[in-house]
Amino acid sequence: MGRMDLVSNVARRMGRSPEDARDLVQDTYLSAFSAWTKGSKPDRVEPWLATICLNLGRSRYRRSRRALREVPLELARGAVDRSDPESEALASLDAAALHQAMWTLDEGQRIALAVVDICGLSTTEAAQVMGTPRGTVLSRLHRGRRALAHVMSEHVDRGEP
Amino acid sequence: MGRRTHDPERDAAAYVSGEMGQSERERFEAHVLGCDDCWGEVSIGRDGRAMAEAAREMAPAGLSDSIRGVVSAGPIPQPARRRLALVPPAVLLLAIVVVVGALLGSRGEPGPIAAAVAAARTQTIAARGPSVRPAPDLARMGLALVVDGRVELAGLPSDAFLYRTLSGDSVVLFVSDESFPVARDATLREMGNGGWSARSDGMTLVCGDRPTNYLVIAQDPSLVGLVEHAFVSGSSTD
Repeated sequence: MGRMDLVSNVARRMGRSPEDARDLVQDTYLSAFSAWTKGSKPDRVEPWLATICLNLGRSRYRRSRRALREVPLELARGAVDRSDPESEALASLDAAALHQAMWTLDEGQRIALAVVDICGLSTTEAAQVMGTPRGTVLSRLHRGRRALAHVMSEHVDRGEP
Repeated sequence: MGRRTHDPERDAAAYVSGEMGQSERERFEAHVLGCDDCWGEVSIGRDGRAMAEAAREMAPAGLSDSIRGVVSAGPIPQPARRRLALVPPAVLLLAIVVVVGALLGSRGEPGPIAAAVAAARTQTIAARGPSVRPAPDLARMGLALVVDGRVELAGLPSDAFLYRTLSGDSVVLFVSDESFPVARDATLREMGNGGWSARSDGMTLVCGDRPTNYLVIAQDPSLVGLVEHAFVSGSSTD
């Protein structure tokens, strides 16, 4: 997997919409470029980029949670009522169902799946990226796989596209 | 099982991820046959991993260019800016291109190879007209032709054929009267046909010059091998 694909896939599990993910990828490269010009050159670029993306995504998530509490009721209603035909069409695809299913997972499980199964890093590298012991990564990885299999199995049983 | 600990979740995760050494793997496989818990965890772990892998996406087309633009226009930290202010703009731009290229995974491929890889990654054939050759029929390999046309790969004229498998994977076959340049870090193959293989930007490439100059690119190495075999054997029997 190319580096751009790797960062993009991590970002897709940190930002719910394609636009959020795209912004996160851009910010990741901006931060990486800034760090690079200051002399920070990692041995392996892939885990380094994944770590930057993950940290930026987490801080954005915290900011967005704070912002959500401050959204006026009228704006919140408008956001919910606004329909998006393109999103609706995409939601009918299996790939979209899979993407949605991943968002039902606990954040730690979703990130473990993104970093190991989707981006192809080892669990040792994932432990460094996630800042947790390898044993924790293995547990999250397995529970995430199990939960994803259950969610998709229920999705198929319901006969949804 | 002869192990001090028995943790079905972590063992299954490590096994399904392919991270057990040979002896550890053999011990675990022998254990799984008699342990319902581990058997169940491995089974569902495999299903979950396959689903997670299926969620893998290619970066959106054009994202590389937009990142280059953002980084070129973006804020540079103060200490770096003071140092860079003494550098001529053209040199600064070149430095940005080199650094961002390194971060994006660009490896300085020859122009035609970079163009071919970009076309395969984005599944975009910017045709200038119809292809000169008929599209090879690869239906027997489960490959459907999506689009074909005549393209210019950084000045190298070529026919391009984009195929897709039933599962949605894509592969591009380029056929040209001119030789394709050798990709950087390519491995020469002992096939007697001037062939080489390489990895570039997450894609697998194989190239040969018999029966004619061809280049096959896809993400999946086995798909590349399948198409090369079908093209070479199909051409030799025509």
